[in-house]
Amino acid sequence: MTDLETTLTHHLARRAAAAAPRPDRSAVMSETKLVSLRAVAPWRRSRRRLLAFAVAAMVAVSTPVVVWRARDTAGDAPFASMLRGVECRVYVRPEASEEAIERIGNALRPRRDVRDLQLTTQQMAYEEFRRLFANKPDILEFANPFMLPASWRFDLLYRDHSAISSFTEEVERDPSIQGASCAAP
Amino acid sequence: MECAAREPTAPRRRDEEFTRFYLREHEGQVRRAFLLLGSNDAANDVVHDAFVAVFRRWAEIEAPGPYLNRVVLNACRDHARHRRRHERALRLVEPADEGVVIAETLDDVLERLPFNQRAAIVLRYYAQLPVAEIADALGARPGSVGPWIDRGLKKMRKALS
Repeated sequence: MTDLETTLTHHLARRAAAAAPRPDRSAVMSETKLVSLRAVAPWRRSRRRLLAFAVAAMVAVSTPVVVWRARDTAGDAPFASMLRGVECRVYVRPEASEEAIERIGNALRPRRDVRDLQLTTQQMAYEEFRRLFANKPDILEFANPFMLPASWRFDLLYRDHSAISSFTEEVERDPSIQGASCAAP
Repeated sequence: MECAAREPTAPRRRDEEFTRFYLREHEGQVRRAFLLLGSNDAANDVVHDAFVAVFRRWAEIEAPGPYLNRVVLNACRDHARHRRRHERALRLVEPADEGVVIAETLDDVLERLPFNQRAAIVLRYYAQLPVAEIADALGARPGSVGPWIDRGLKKMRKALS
């Protein structure tokens, strides 16, 4: 080790000691309600829990898992013919305002890596929910349009994991966004 | 008694595993992020968001440690990029006084290095990570790490001489 490397090692250790970690594990875990609902073992729960599971299941069903679709060469993406878009959904928090939903759409629309942006409103999600669970009146009894998140669905013109996860991490920083999920490439 | 003897459910087991992981990793990650960002608030925010991302994908991730490293470093890179942009804009509004010469400290020089060089140096000399792990955390080839560290040290030597 050179002098500089030794100095640097000691200096970084001293400087790192000035950091003040503020652990808040429960806040981390409470920010991931969607995943927690998915993980609930549904069959021995009350009807209310069953309903929560149904909501999560519907969100999961509406999230494409292995859907791939080749993109055409038209449009402004110069290498669109070489890319295959992966379907993504960005879920907006149910309590978010219409302005927030529109703002998220406006942020996604001009991106060159986003194609075919479409909004699913809470009402549309609710109608889909009713259709999916038409034969489960005990679940529908508790359902209402405000419990399901609105979402933006689009094709993301990436095919590698790191680019897709960078994208989802980027959009999930928006406090109005509940979560983002994309199909596996 | 009956409850205590029962096997934990999958969500509970997941929560316990994540809690152990959080307790093991949190402090070190905040200290590393602090070295890269120079701010306690920013470091805690970045690490908090990274843990949220990890917890969301807990069931899918095979190696949460390296994944967390990558998420934290990506967030630090983004944060540093935004800050540089902001500082550049400020310099346009308030140009620096050219007559003033300020002695540079080790931190000043480190902060001016490109992000990959700075992060490689922090991960090598603070976190003592091997080259392969540094490369994985920065999403780069192992062959890039050595030159980043060498170039960073060379610039530091020059600036401090």
